[in-house]
Amino acid sequence: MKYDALIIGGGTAGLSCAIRCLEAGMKTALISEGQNALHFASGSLDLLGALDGEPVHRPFQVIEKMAETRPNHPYACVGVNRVRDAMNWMAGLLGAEGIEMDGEGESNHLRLGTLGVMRPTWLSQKTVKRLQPHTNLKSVALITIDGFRDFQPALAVAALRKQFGDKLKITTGSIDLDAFKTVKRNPCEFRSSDIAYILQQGDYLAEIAKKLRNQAQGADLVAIPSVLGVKEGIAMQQSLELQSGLKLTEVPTMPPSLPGIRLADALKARFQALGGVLLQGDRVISGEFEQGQLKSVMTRQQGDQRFRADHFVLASGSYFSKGLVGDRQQIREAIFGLDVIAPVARNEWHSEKFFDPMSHPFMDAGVETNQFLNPSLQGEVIDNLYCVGSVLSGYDPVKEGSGSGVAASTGFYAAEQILENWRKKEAV
Amino acid sequence: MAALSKSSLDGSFEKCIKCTVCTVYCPVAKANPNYPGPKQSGPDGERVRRKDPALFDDYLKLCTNCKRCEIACPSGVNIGDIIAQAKLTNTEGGWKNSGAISPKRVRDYILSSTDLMGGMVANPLAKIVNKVVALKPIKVVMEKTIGVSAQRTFPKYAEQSFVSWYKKQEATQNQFERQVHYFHGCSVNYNMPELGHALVEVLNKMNIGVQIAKKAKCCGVPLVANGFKDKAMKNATANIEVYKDELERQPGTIIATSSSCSYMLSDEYDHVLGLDNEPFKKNLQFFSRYLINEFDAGNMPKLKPLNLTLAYHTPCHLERSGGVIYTLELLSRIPGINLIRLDPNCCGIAGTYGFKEENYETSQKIGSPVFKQIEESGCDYVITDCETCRWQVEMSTTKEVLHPIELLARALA
Repeated sequence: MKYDALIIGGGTAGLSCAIRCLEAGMKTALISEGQNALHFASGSLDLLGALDGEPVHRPFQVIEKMAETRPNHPYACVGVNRVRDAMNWMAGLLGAEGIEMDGEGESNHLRLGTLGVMRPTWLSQKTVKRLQPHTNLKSVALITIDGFRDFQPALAVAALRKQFGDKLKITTGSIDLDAFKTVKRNPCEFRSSDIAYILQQGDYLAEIAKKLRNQAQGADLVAIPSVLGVKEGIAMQQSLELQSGLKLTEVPTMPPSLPGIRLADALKARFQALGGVLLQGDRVISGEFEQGQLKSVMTRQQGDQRFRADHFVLASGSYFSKGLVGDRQQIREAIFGLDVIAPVARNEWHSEKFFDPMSHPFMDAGVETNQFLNPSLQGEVIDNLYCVGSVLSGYDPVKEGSGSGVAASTGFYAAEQILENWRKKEAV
Repeated sequence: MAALSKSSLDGSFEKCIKCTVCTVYCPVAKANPNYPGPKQSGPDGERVRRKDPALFDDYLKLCTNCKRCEIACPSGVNIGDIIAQAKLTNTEGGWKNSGAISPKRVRDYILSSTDLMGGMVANPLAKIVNKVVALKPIKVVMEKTIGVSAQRTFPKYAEQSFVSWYKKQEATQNQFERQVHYFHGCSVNYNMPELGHALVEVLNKMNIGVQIAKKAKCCGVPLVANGFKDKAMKNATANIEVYKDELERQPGTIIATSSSCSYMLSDEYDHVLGLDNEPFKKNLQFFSRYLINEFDAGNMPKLKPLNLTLAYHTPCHLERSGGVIYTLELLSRIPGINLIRLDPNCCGIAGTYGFKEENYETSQKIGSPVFKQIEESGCDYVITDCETCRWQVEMSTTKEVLHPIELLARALA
């Protein structure tokens, strides 16, 4: 089995890169183990929300200076213009798949999280309304569903109060439907996706609209957990707004996060429509290297089958996705044992304070690459292998709020170089 | 007591972080709110069942064993295996009402005993059996007595089994220098021997002869699904022994055209039944993987363009075992094909599952997006590697279904 490009990992980074290769007409395969981290994500596109503990309002301005201030950051390697191109491309792709993304242009905006904390992000879905402390919003109602554990308005109120002060009137409420009875037999199974399934089995929107209106107490904005549906949830929320006369904003819940799955589905749909080859539920376990190039990889399930390609992309993620492994001795790249940048002494892995505004050093650890995102193996550069997304070193996606931005833009950048090489080869 | 399987010993359920992503991809949970979903049925339930087997939840029999939960799991939990094992270990108490054999248990036995029904009853009497089971009053009686859905169209039995056809072929096959072993499975043997004929034709064109093990038994997929543990273990142990001997007599690759048999032999013998299935683990390849590697090594038969629009449906077990890439690659090598890849959804039949009166509605609901997409595709044929998917699609749509090997045989120049 031979491909032009073979991508290891099916998250935002891997899919972005694969889709770019497919758009250019390359024969592209992707090997992915388990569903991606978008299932745990907000469904907004974060670019850069904070750096070194300081909030970032205008992300591109900060990224532009990174070549000097943070030369090891993946953004410094990609460059601000390409980051901009990549993010615009991503927003366009999602829009074409029916998920309109919206933002403040050059600036970040704040979105409401499950615990009531406002998080900076760059683009959000249209179902998420902006909620800036300085706007003249007078009242907000947080309404959940009886027995739903993944959005607790009482918890969120305290955090919101801290950010908005007394000027904002905050009320809470909850609604229920008879149709939820079956699923509620076990509170552990009453999750966003369970609710969405039930709402698909019948037309409950009129009843929900009425109940929301009763609970909203005339609030300017009503926050509800994101439980209406994956892609169909967008239209359902609009319909609820029409029927109730309320302005609604959806709050992403604990996993499974429906707004995140919306993005995952859109990327996968585009990949499939372009004829991408997907091997899922399997894991790459080894590779054959020859003269500074990766020649083929093998997987856990496919025995001695070799998957060959001209270009490889490692988008295997960080610790959660098992692209990076931290054992008692060291932090290493899990599949090929590529060279990493990581703290060595065990007591230097983390800060003393759990909630340190600066990163825990292990979060910045990852694969070391050259300016083209090529890694090295025992000091030898592998020039047909590119590393993208959170397997990379030099940044902390969580503290920075830069996960989706780095993933999409490094995926985009790797594809750009692969295409250049591929076109040269095709021309010959 | 039979050997405790590995996945109940290795504590794979301990890796579950309760993210519930599996349930998002569970076709049953989507269609039937009574099913608690794979997380609850698998890793969560496993904890309580270990405390007390009486805590086994009868809702587990709603699981179709499609394994989409395992593909989705970001933490590497073998959710489907855990559920399959729980069904196997707890079925006797759970499904047999207070020790007495229920009519539905008889039905389960008939549906699972594919070899018995095909070999002793259906093939010799194919003409009569096919007509009788298609009769409306018979269907109603079957539903009322043993709970086989009256709405279900029964697969037709062939008048001559694949094995009897092969016996006349054996001398010809033995003449080839290169040989492969073919695990044909029950459906090819009793219902669609033409599929096996197609494989033999294609391989012979590539100068490869086909060996079959006449002592091979049903792989056991329906037995495991219906909780007949002893018979499943017996069949599996026999198959492992048979193929140890076969490989000794004639070393080589074992190929299969049925995605579920193939997955059972190479994975579930180990993961669900806890058996050492070395001959299959090492030597079994799905037919499309074997063929594509032969093609790439230069052994490709001459093909003529077919000029067809085809819709490819992915069988769940092929998705789980990673075989889809080979079949798609194989199809891409046949000239003159416009291939539409249907969205990867379960068709809902899940072997014997959809034949049961209590599952019929869920089964059709699960499959409805597939049927709709097929009807709207404008395809000439639907292509799929799984025999039960084929029955389901043919019953539920207006389209005829072909196995990729039949298509390849048609394309031989």
